[in-house]
Amino acid sequence: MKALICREIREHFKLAVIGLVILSAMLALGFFESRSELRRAAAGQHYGNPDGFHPLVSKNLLTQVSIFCGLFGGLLGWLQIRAEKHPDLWAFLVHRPVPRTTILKSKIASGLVLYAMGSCPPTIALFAIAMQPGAVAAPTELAMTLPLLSVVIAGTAAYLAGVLTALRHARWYVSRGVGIGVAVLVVSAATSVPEFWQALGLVAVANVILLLCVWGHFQTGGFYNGQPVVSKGALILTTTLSSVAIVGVVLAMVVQTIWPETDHISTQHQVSKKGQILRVTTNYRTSEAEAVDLGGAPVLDPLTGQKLKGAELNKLNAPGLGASYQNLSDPNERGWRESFSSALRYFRPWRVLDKALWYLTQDGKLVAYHGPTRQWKEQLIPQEQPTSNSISSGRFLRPTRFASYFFRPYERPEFLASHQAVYAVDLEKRSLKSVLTTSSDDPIVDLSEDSGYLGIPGRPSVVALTRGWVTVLEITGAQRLRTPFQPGPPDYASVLVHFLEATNQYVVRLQPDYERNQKSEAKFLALVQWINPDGSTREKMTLPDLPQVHRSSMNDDCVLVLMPIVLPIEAWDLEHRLPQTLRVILALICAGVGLRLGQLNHFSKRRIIAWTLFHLATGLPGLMAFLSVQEWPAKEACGQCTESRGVDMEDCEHCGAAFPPPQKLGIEIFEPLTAD
Amino acid sequence: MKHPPVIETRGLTKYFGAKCALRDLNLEVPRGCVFAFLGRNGSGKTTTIRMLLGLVRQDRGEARVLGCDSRELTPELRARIGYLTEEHQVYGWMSVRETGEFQASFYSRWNEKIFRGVIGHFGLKPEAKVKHLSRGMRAGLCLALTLAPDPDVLILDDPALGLDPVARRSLVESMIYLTRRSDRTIFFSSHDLADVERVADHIAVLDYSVLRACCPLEKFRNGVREVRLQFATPPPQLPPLPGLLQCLRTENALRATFVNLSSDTEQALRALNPLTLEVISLGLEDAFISYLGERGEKSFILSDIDMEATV
Repeated sequence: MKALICREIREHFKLAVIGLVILSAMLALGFFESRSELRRAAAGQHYGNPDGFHPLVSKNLLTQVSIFCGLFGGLLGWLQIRAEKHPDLWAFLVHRPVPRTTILKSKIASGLVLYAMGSCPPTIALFAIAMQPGAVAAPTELAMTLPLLSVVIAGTAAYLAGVLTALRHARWYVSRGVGIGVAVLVVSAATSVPEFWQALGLVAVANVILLLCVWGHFQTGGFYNGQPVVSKGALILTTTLSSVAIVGVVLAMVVQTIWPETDHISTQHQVSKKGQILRVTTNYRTSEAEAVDLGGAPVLDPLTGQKLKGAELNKLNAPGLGASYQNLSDPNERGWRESFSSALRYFRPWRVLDKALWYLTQDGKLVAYHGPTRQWKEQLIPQEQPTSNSISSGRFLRPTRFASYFFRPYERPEFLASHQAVYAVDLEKRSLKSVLTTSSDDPIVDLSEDSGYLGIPGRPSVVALTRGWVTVLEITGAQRLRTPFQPGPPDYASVLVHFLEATNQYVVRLQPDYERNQKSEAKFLALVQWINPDGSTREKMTLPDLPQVHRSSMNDDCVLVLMPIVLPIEAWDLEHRLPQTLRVILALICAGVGLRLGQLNHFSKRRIIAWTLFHLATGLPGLMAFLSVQEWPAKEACGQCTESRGVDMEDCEHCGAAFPPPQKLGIEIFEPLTAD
Repeated sequence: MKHPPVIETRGLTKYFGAKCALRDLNLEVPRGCVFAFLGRNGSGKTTTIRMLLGLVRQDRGEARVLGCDSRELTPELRARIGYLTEEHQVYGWMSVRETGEFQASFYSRWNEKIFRGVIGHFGLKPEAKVKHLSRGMRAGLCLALTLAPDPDVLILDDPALGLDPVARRSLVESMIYLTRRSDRTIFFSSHDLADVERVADHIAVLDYSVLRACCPLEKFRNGVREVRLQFATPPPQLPPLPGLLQCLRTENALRATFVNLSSDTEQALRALNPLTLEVISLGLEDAFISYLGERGEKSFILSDIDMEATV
């Protein structure tokens, strides 16, 4: 095995070196790109998404490295087999006193070593450089190495897919690349799943499946027939997954071409500047909207008497600020947790002052990095006493809408909250002024991020949410509104506050927790309260539950029809009844086709039943997988019954006759041979 | 004690798509013989060899080598089977010495003396890169790699294919002098009938994927005879005769090649009243060409040719 591994490594070493050079260049460029982006940000010239601030979690760089690892791994695997695919060279490889499994093991081991040689040194070098203080003007932690690591690891799936593609013999050339679909899925999912362990799990599962496929094909020299059952199963699974991907993509393209414009309509309640609740129906394709009041009467333009539409309706809406109650047990789990590959999981650029970039880190600190020198400069944390309960102290809360963050370096005012207080942050004086404090049994759970949207003239405000209260604060610390968060968590999770400038009133909407409401079959309804300037409640009402007027597109319907039944894509509701029915019919047709093909090719009863069940469960993708893996034997007319019979069976399936010996021509010369 | 056949096939059949590459091959190769496997291009020789080694799966039938189903050859059995491929493919980037060392690491019975002997016979320098070797030299290296493990069975797939006469002679000499061992079986395919005649004990002939002959070399050579008949006038048409391979008619002569020429056939020929009738033994090459060549009658009589052209 050692000799085989050494030979493989020597033979393909050049490819590893080429990979190493390309990846090194790619990472170096990515590193300097991030640096220059940070330099621009420190100079106050960067607005928008901070995805590219840190080279370890730069979205662009991760995408590029994903593509590189997929191509490099795939090419390496393909070449490793392809180089020996000539029948004579293949014979030279496998006809030796070593089990084929050992030969394969050494091929895979050496391939992975080569892959690691090409991809790991530059990656590790980037880790080492980026982790150095002063290398990147942004918070850096060890966990930030995981996204690149997961991409590099995911490349192993592409490597195995490359090996499988080169190994496979198939009637349809495209079906040789069945592993590629799985590899593409894995490589693209490696950075889009929420957690690193999920990426690892995905890669591990895919690699086990692909490895079984590769093993089976290596045993038979690339053919399906003769493989062990387990590798046949893995191949069918791989082919089915790839077929699902192919069907989905091809169909989306076709439908998009034929029906490029499909309406996507939804209806929501909105509050007008007059405090009126409107039911607004928006078509997201055309951006057109129509509004009616709760009685169903259309909202008319007071001047023209015409129905208001689109942008005109937006002018009617009262600005609002929202905040959401989240789980308090783990401060890091507040809000939806960004993917481990997103920069926003680790830090959020917050403000720029004197060429210093201030970040809110995931452990609740405001830290500053000097742009030109990239050195850590200082930090600000709330000075608070530890509480007796489990609520954390001395750290800022992570905003709930972390992921949709848009960096605005000079936006003011600057509020941050901990569980104990809301602070007005004065970066110039490096001071935190508490504008709202709470008791430990009523901790702050969220603070609205934006302050200018409430529309109180000249008085930017924020909404602070505690377990028991909703508070609207001015930048000065003055409380504009304090109203109970009732009914509150856990049934009601979020609050939306609107200010009605004309009447100086507030409208507070309490929204039920989505997941709890789903579980309890939507028994909680949204509540609206109209609150007077003095804090008294003028009116309360519940909003009727809006049926989700989501008209699924032609594309969605077609995809649904062609997807396997085992995939629970959509509910069997009124809207989807037709496509769901068609899906079942299609599965039955596929099962029928599979059954007939099995009968025609004289499969055993057990085999026919197994394939029929498979086709019922997987529909069209399953049938595609079936057709692409099967190696149908040639057929000949039986000499006895004249029926068409498979040449791979000793006896005729119809009449049981054996194949006749070749016809004698009268020129045969035979004499029994004897040993010496 | 009678040894079981070293190579044995029963009804071995292979299709590539709808084309039958080998049909119903029944073969037994006894231990210790040098067995030549002959046939025209595309007749199924290489396919048979690959099936014997488990490199290609048959559609039907069975192949056994050293008593084991060829699809399940164990590493121990593979160590006893030497295989030389027709295109002499080895890793071009390795040197001759490295190739030998690489191959030696897999075989417990590796005989370095044989390896050095064969590469010396072919004039190969150990440090030479394989990719820089001529085709004949590469064939020599491959032969050395095949022989050095001291296999019990040698399977050689047209080992002299594409070699110049000198290289071919070197290869054949190596086969004769370095591979002969009383208990070693050599199974080889070839198109070079002079080489076959020099080394083979037995031959098998495939004709359009079907085995038509399997016998000792002498038997085959003796089995194919040419009969020359002289006539005073243009020779008459031959009646249907058993074992007739080819017939060539000229202005006053007729030459016919027969398999297993019997006295009845000879009698029938005499009934044509020739001036002379002569039965001639053929060399292997002529016998083989007649055996696998185009069958039937060819006429070189001008009036016949004119008739055919008119038709």
